[in-house]
Amino acid sequence: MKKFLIKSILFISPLLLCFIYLEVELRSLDTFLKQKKEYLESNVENIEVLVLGNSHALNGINPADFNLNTFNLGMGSQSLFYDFGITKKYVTRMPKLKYVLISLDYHTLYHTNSENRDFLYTHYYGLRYKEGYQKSDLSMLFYGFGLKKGIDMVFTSTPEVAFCKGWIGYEGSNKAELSLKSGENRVAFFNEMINENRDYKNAIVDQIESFVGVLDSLKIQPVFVTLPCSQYFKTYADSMIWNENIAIVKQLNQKYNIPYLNFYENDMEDKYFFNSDHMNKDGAQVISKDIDLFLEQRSISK
Amino acid sequence: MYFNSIDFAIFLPVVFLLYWFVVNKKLEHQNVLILVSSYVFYGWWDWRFLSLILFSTLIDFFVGISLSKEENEFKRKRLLWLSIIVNLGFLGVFKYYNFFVDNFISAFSFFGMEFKGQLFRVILPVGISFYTFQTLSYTIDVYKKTLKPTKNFISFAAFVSFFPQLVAGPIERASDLLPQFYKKREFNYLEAVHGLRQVLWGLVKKVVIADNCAELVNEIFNNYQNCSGSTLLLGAVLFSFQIYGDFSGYSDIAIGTSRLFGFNLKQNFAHPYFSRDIAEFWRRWHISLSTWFRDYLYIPLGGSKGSMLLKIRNTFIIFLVSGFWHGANWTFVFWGAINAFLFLPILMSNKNRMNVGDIAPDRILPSIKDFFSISLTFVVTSLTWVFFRADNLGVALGYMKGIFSKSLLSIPYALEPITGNPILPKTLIILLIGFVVIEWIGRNEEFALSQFMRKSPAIVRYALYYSLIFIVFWFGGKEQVFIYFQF
Repeated sequence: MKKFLIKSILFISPLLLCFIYLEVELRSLDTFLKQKKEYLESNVENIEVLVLGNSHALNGINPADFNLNTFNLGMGSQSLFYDFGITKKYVTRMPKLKYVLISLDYHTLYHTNSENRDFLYTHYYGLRYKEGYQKSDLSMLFYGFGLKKGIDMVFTSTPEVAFCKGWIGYEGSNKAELSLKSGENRVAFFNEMINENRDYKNAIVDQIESFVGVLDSLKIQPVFVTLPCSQYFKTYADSMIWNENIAIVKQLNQKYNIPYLNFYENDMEDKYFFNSDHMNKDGAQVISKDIDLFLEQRSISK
Repeated sequence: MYFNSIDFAIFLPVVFLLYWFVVNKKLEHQNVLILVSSYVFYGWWDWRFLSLILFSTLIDFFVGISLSKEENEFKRKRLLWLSIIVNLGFLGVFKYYNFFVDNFISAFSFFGMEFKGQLFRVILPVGISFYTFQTLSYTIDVYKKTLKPTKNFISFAAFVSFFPQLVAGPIERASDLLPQFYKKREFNYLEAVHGLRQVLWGLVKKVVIADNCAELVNEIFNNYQNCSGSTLLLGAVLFSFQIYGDFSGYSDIAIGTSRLFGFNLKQNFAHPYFSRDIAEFWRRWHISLSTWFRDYLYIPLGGSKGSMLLKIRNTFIIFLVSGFWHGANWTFVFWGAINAFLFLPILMSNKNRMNVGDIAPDRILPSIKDFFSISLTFVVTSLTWVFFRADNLGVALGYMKGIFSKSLLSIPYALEPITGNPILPKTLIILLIGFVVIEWIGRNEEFALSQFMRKSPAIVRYALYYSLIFIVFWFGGKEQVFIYFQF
């Protein structure tokens, strides 16, 4: 028995050391979310416009095209729960904040959280979608990233992408993902989420209203934005879902007098898209300038 | 908790250390720990399941004791039927009630009559099909007086709930496993190491082979109407690998884990895909279930004795019941029936025991005849698995129709989820080829790498262990539920 235990310990030790090394590395890894948090904390007092949303906003709104000091807090698969949670943590330290752009897309009102990313928000911001202890608190390697992804993250350098004040821009178009098939698959992916989460829509709308109330108390103007999608995406998007979304936005608009910039209805050429539902750098420039113009005119009119 | 989960990776060493360091001095304590840890293991899924297994255990324990005290044949039969009715009753209610109600409703509406049946929304307790058969083997053997009943409730309860094989087998006979609870287990280094090796190989089969195949199989079966015949055939073949990797992998982990605690379980899979005919396949696939049906259903029905008509009848009964055991769906019954039809020619020509020995003994490669037989048996089996995997008969028949279409001769492809473009699953193909080679080399062993792991020099063994662990972690597919948990 003693021999078995000694040999087992000797056998497992190298594996355990590897796992511990990976765990430590992952917790201190320089991820995009970490970079955003660091930028936010360093510049919190100077931010005038804050962009919230998922990857559509992350790629579609470039702060460099704004006259006001803008920061893009958007992130891939980031739900409004985290958008609002992060903002509420910092908003009282943002004396210059004038506008908060809230990106509302095809699926936003049904997007509760991303189970495979929740642990990141807990780790960086202390935000928890589900209360109480989570397994990922114990190990980000096994219960967060997963071993394969974790190894990949530690040993692969972050890909070079344009990064400006939180924005990540894509160069050109990915022809394979800018197609009818890709559009169909993306819409199918979102429709599945929407069907699974229909019961959460009202709760998410309540979150929006609560957040708007917080901004209102601080005299910060929220602005709803829906970013464009390619023709391929729009071919398959369910018009019933889209119309329901619009109806809710209009209700909020009327109730709280929130401006709404709807770019989804714009028919933009393929050259502005990286794939069926994400803009590239050129597309981001067009949209960002339009938003900036709106904000400027609004500021002047006030 | 799943065997390939972190929860189990923590649970197992804790129980192991308690077993061999804290409770190893007394047999009773060992059995109590096995019982408690088994109930913790089972309750991890849903604590409500525990009441069912406890009730089943109590009934069969008292039936066993009562049978030993009762000499009156009528009363003995009554006790036996009590056990059968309780155990199969639970199975019937939890697993088959909604199926029967649904079918009654369909049958009545076919004749233009309305039948209002109440469907139950009930969770199927994990492993119910396995442990009910395990306890039934106890009461039947006690009734037949081939096994002395136990008066030790702890031993019996531990035998019923023994965690390594509780939820997906092997279905152990009371005459094999129960006596192992009567003797204090002593730690055996070689057995423990061999057990760990088997666990490791089981993980490779489950996590690397089964889970990787599953992703593609799901994609193909969910979109079968849009796939070419060759792609559908590929899907069927991949499902063959998936179900084998999943189920035999689980069995390896169960048997290997049992070895760590000083228990010996029976081999459940003997490399069935190298079978040379369908009869041999059913002697090598899910051995614990097929022998259970043979001993407790086929032989009491008359078995192979009697006229050919009787043999055919018994064969069909076994395959249909076996199919139905797998699930409350006509696809499983159909699958059983197809296997019965495939078995028929061999039975009628008295060739069902033609291939009973080792496969290609003392040869590196099979003979041409064996290669042909193995390939044919594999393809036929893969096609029958379509019925096993499909959600309903309509899908299964549509799938089969799709296979045997003009596009069968086209190049198969898998579809990349985001773009829908065809891709070749190169990594999976390489893994499967490597897997088949290893399984072939170890085809006459308990598990594929059994002898290699025992006989190689230490440095080679350790390199292999670390390599397999790396492969499990690196090439492990997206986690899938063990297929047989649903039974």
